[in-house]
Amino acid sequence: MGRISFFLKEAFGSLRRNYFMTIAALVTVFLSIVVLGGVLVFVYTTDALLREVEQKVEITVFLQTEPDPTPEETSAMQTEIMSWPEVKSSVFVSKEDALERLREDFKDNPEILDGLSGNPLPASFEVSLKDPQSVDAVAARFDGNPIVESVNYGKEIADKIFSVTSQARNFLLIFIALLGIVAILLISNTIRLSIFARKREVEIMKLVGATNWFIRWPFVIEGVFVGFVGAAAAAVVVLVLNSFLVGRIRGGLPFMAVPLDAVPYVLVTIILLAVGVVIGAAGSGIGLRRFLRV
Amino acid sequence: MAVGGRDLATLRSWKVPYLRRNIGCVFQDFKLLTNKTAFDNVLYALVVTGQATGASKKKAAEILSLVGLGHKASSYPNELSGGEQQRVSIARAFVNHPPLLIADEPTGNLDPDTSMGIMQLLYRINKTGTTVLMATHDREMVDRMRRRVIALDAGKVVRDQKRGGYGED
Repeated sequence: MGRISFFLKEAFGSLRRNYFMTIAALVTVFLSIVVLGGVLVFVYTTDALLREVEQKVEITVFLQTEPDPTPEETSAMQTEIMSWPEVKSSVFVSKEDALERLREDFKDNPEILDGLSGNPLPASFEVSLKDPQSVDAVAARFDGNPIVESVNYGKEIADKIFSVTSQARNFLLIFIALLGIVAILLISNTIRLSIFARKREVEIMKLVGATNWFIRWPFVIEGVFVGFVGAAAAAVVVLVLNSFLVGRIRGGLPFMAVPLDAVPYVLVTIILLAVGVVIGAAGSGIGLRRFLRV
Repeated sequence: MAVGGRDLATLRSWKVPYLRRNIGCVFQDFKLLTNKTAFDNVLYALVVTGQATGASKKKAAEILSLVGLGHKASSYPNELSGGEQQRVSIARAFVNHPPLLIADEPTGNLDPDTSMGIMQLLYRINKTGTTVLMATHDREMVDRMRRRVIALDAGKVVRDQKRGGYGED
């Protein structure tokens, strides 16, 4: 029987003996991590929605009409736009395409377009970006281009969207931090209670000549076990609940694309397990410190 | 103040456990681990020092027989009488064969007959060469043992006698 198996035996022996405390600690860890995990899932989903909104920011570059740019000029420009690293895609809309779209928009009363002679509409590029925040910089590059008539990217709307989304992100981060602190306090407090009940035991161990770490290891193992099991149960509940709820929301709001895959299941599980294990181990190790001064 | 050649005032706190292993301690309230059997209580003092457990199990069993509790090795402290619990705690204190054994009123909670048995046990331990330092208020016991007596009053040594009795002047 080596040292490690002795510690394991001690740890699981006292988990069983103090089963009431074990259950209390497990429930505390479980509930705290369910709440934390719920918020984490909410943040991921919200973030994906925010990103979707941001993706709607697009630059429309209208080209000159008198004279119209030559096909060589437009294809050269298309190549140039696509060479910029910020650009995700660029679609050339020719004069004919533009007119076609207009006809499509007014197909219920086509007589409005009857008065048109020729095609007065400009050709354009519709540029969408990898990082929507770079919209200002990219739009500025079209200034002074001889074949560009005007650049339109809804600056005010874009700015408004960005300020709202960044505020929302900050709020969510603060929320997560607060909840993390609450979870840490709650769990370490429960663990401290269970240690307090074994104060005498720790004192005797010290008097017999045990070093601090000799006493601490079984407690840390207990903490890791409680943290891991509580967090694992919580992770299962959170993720099952998430896919259920997202399914319901999708059914109820078909026009709003709620990304079900917004939540990285593996990452969230790892985060929750890590939080549980670390808080469990640290809670035991630190909670014990007071009683080790014998 | 120095114990075992080490100055307690300057002793680093992480070294304290190693000093304690060289001092057996017996207390008035036994201080046994209630969730461990008599055998495991004795064994714990050995495991703590990191000794190989095959040999230490044998050692723990031997020492329990020596204090007359071989048949109660698997009993828990709450299944033992006061005298028996004190024997277990003496077995635990002595299992490492420390040069010094400190007994703080070891008979304080026990009746006179049981006390006598405990004193005989301590006497035998003393015979093996271990110094036994015992604090007590038990007049009869001191008078009967006739060993070196150091009397303290308000923390000061007021008497140190080779073969003393209780309350002599």
